[in-house]
Formats: sequence, C-alpha cells, structure tokens
Amino acid sequence: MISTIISKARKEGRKALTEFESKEILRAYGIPTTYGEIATSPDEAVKIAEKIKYPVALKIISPQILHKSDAGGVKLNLKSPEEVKSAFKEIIKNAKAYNPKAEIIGVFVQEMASPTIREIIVGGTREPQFGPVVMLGLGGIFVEVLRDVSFRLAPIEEIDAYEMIEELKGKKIFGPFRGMPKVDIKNIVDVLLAVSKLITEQKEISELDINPIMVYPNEVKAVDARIILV
Amino acid sequence: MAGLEPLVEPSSVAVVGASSKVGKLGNTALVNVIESKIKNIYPINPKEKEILGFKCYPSVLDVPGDIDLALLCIPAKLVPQVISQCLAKKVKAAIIFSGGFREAGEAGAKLQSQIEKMIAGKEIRILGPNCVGLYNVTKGYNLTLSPTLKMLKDSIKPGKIGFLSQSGVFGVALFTVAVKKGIHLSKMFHLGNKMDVQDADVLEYLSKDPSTKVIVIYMEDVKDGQKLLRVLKEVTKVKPVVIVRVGKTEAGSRASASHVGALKAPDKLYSALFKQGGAIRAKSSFEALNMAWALSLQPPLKGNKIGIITNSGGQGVEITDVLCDNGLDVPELSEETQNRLLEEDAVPSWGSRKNPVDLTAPMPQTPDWYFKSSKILLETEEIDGLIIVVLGTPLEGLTSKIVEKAEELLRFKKPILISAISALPNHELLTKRLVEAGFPVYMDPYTTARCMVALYEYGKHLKKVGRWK
Repeated sequence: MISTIISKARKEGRKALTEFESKEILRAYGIPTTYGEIATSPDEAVKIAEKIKYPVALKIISPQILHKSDAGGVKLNLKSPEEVKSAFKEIIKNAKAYNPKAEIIGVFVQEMASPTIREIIVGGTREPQFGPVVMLGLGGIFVEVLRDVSFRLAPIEEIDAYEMIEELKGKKIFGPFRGMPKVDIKNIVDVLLAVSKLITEQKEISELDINPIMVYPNEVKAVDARIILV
Repeated sequence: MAGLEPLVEPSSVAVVGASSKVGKLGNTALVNVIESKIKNIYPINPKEKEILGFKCYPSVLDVPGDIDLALLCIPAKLVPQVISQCLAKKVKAAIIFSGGFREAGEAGAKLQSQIEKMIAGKEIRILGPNCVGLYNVTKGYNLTLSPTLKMLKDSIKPGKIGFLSQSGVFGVALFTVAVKKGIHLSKMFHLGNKMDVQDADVLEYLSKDPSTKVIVIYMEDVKDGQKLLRVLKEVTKVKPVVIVRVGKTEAGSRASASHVGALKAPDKLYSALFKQGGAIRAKSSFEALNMAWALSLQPPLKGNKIGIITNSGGQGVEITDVLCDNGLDVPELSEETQNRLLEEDAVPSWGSRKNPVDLTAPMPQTPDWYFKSSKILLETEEIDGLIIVVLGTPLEGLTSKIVEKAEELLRFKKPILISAISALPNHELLTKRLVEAGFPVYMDPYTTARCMVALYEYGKHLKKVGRWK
C-alpha cells in the first residue's frame, strides 16, 4: 500500500504526498488519525458526513496546495448538510482562485477532532550527519515561540520515547491540568515509536510532519499530516 | 576493518620526510619518536644516509623490516604517492600530519578524496590529515608533531583518561594543563580531518584499552552520527564518556567550518545523540577534563542525595543550588545523625549540623572535624555522595586526618569531591596532599558541583542499562 502511494506520487512527479495519502501511511504504522473519505461533489460530501456523524471538517486535497489554510481550503466544525454543501463549494472556489493550475483531487471530509489545548507535534526527518531523526514538540498556538522540542536519533527504544516526553519543558500539561485528568503517556510513546519505525524503514521519505496530534486522556489522534519524499 | 593497535602501539615506525634540521616538522616528529624509545625507527629521506644516528632510507619500500606505522611529515601534494608506497609495503597504519586537504578549499578536498579512494577497502588505518597525532602515555609513545610536549616529559605520567580532541593545538594545550593539575591521561588523540579514523574507531579502541577508565572527547562535528551512537551505547556500558561539543551558535559553526571542514548540524541533535548514547555532556573543555578526573578517581553516584561539609556557609549554598538544578538533592540530616555529629565532637557546638554541615571559621588549631563529620555522613544511608569544601589553607588540624585516613573514607564506595578555595601560599601543597590521598580537588565550587552531577548522570545511566554493580 505504501509503495503504491509513493510510486503514484513519483509517477506524477510529486515530492509531497497529500494529507489523505500521508494519513494512509500513518495508519499503516498504527498511528491513529481522524477518519475521513474524499468527496468529489457536494452531495457526496454530505453522504460521507452523515456516515462519519457531524460535526465534520472539510479540507482541500490537491498535490499543489500544501498550505491548505492559506488557500482557504479548510472549513471546520460543520454541523449540517447545508453547511457541508456550501463549505464544499467555497473550498473549491478558493482553491481555484489561490492556484488556477492546481489539480483538485477532491475534498477530504473527516471527523472533527474534539478541541483540546493538549496538542503535540511529532516529526521525522533524515539529516545528513545523523540519519533518521524523531522529533516531539508541544503544539498549539505557541509552538513557534516556545520551540519546546526534543529529538532522538531513530530508531528509538521505549525508554528514549519516555525521555523525549520528560525533556519537554511543558511536560506538565500531560499531568492533571486545569480540571482535566492526566493523559496516558503510553499513547504518545506509541506514536513516537511508530514514527521512529516509519522514518527508519521508509527510506524514500525525507520528512514527515504530524501537526497537530490531539492528546486526550485515553487516546491520541493525528489531525493533519504531511510527508515529503526524498 | 583493522583495529588501531599498530597506530597506537607500534613497534616499528617510519618517519617520512625525516630531517636533521631543528624546527622542521620531520625533525620534531623524529625526535619525539626517538625519545619514545620505540624499538625500530626508520627515518625516510632520499637525500640523507643517516639522521640523528639512525640509518636513513630513500622510501618506505627500501626499509628491510615490517613497518607498523608511518608518520608523514611531507607537503600535501606528495602524500598520495607516499600512501601508495605504504600500501605496496603493507604498512599497517599512518599518521598524516600535513595540512592542505579538505580544510583548505576545493583543491585540498580533491586531494583528500583521491587518498580516500586509494585506501578504500584496504587494511591500512590512517589518522588525519591535518592532525597533531597521538600520544600513548601508557607506553610513553609521543607520536605527535608537538615540539612542546617533550618539555613536560618528566611530569607526563600514565593516567586513566583517554582524551580525544578534534582540535590539535588546543588539545595539546589542554593536555599540558591537565598534567600540571595532576590529571593524567592514558592516551591522547587528535583526529584532524577524520578521513579514515573516526571518533567511533577511537572510542572502540579506548573502550577495550585496559589502562583507560574514562574517555573525554572535545568535539566540533560528527561525520556519521548513527555509527557514533551505536559505539557510544556499547562503550558507556563499561566506561563513562564525557563530551564537550563546540560550534553551537551560528558564529561558532562558521569558525568550525573553516577549521576542520566541519559540517553544520543543529546542536540539539548532538545533545540527543549524547543522551541516547549515555555520554555526559560537559559545558566547557575544562569542565570535561574535571568531570573525567572525578569519574576516574571516584565511583559513580548510586542515588541523588549529597552531603556537604564546609567551613563557610556561603559556598555550601552555591553548591547546593547547582546540585538541585540538576536533579540532585541536599537533604536535611535526621535528628539522630545531627545528634551524633554533636555527641561525637564532629562539629563545633556553634556550627550547623543540618546539611550543609558548617564547621564555621577555619582555624589552624581546630581538631579533625572534617574527618569525623565526613565519616559519620558516609556511614548513614541518608547520603550517597559527599562534597567537602575547604576555605583557606588549614594544612594541619582540619585536613590532616582526611589525608592520613583517606582509605577509611573512600572504602564506603560513595564519591567524595573536594573544593579547596584559596590563593594562600600553602594552597598548592594542600591540594597536592589531598589529590595524592585519592580525592579530586577543585578550586571552583561550581565545578565541584558539576563534577558530582557527572557522577550522578553516569550512575543513573548504569542503572538504566542494567550495569550497576
């Protein structure tokens, strides 16, 4: 499955995988992601939304549009068939205006992850002197400012994953916090181990960015993801 | 790939470019080899018949016996030809002292690549180019191009610290500073451009070297981080490794690029690599040596509880701050222990017994409080390690007993470090006595605390990998 996705992108001369493709690969490695399907018409979007259950999120899927929000290609928290239909049309219109040459595959209709302030970023890269590397950071609005991140060379062991979490200055947000129960750290550890395995095994992947991953007390969910090939 | 034994412990050495002219590289290297009393010495120079009493040969190919090591003291452009002769002669190792390779721009980089191709898949091991060489202190083999180290010959004694420096001249300078301080090395390596022999190779060698107990690395860059990590993981199971890595800031990285052709990489990845590999990261090169010294003389910390005995309250606080910032603790002593300190006349009645234990003003006539209080603290389960702070130079009374009966304190297998702070005339003598008794002694209380942190980190690592004994 992964090799099919990668060779398809190669055939089309793309280095960037779409969010849909990226999430397929994440799921193949056991990383939980928000569920969704691709719709090519407003009616189909509604059909998928009914299956997933409202509220849903709609995101443009185009190999040429990597920064979906910048292109007006993301609509969140849609609660009815009407909202889904109009969001679908608007996204297509915005995308065409943003980049008239962009090939539009469709609109990704996905479950709306419930909001939480506990967001993390997990990434994998390939560095010239270090080889595959795993990154963990606190996500959310201050990610650029605080740069609260930790790294390890992949492959990592379970104890390394725990130490990566321990190294974050803001690790306290995973404990009982503002009336929220503490989170099961093991779920974050599992994501780190999975990303480590992925970046180590998939030599054609140069960069992998899961941002954000919502962290709930008993589960985690990747909401957006991007994979770049070497 | 072949090991480094012929490089570090050669019994036959050829000096290519040997010269009788003082001041020439080929003279310095040859003199160093001669003073090292290596069994077979072969000066190589087509223009000479004999140099410094040794028969001279036109090339390595003309040498009658086997050659373990060739020292190349010739201009860069002549190196490829000599390397091909070394390959033909089956020379086991070489040190290329000469500069003018990757660090010197495009033409030099080409020259280096040319040699890399020649030696690919061959048995020969090469140190350098652009390096100072190595010093096997254990055997007394000075295989460097340093004209200065031989001046210290009488003070250089075999020690337990293997030192790997990415900077040549600075490495030698640190070596001399260490010697002056009584910190003795087992081996010193300078790798230069690291064309063949890498940090990982030296680490592997030092980890098996019975005379090396601790390894220190002064690092600017790493070529193969994954390989270094694999080796570090193995080495740190048996020996502590302390690394100081420079080139953190952008300006620092630029300086490095023009120095040894270092490649830029974010410093966080280095921290990750060291942590994953179980190495201790020092903040400066002097700190690295000091940490290695502590690790070579004292056992690692089993827990995190530190006792401090001082004759000035202030220094106790400074040390406590550093320890607590790094995961260690300076717990208040139990009432029982505090009572013992008083009852057994281990502290003056006006001193503090809580921890830090404060003996107050240093007076020459004061009794053996340091020894008595140290022993009581070490005997309790309440502390895992001890820092003794000595202000002034109380040669008699206060310190004489810890020197005389050091064994009684060291047998607890709990680390003891001493911070001796003074510039009074007797300070050097006091330090010397304490060091000879087996204690690492530092002037700076901050450094003393950081060295305790190193003992803590290594103890923690040993437990993590299941190697705590």
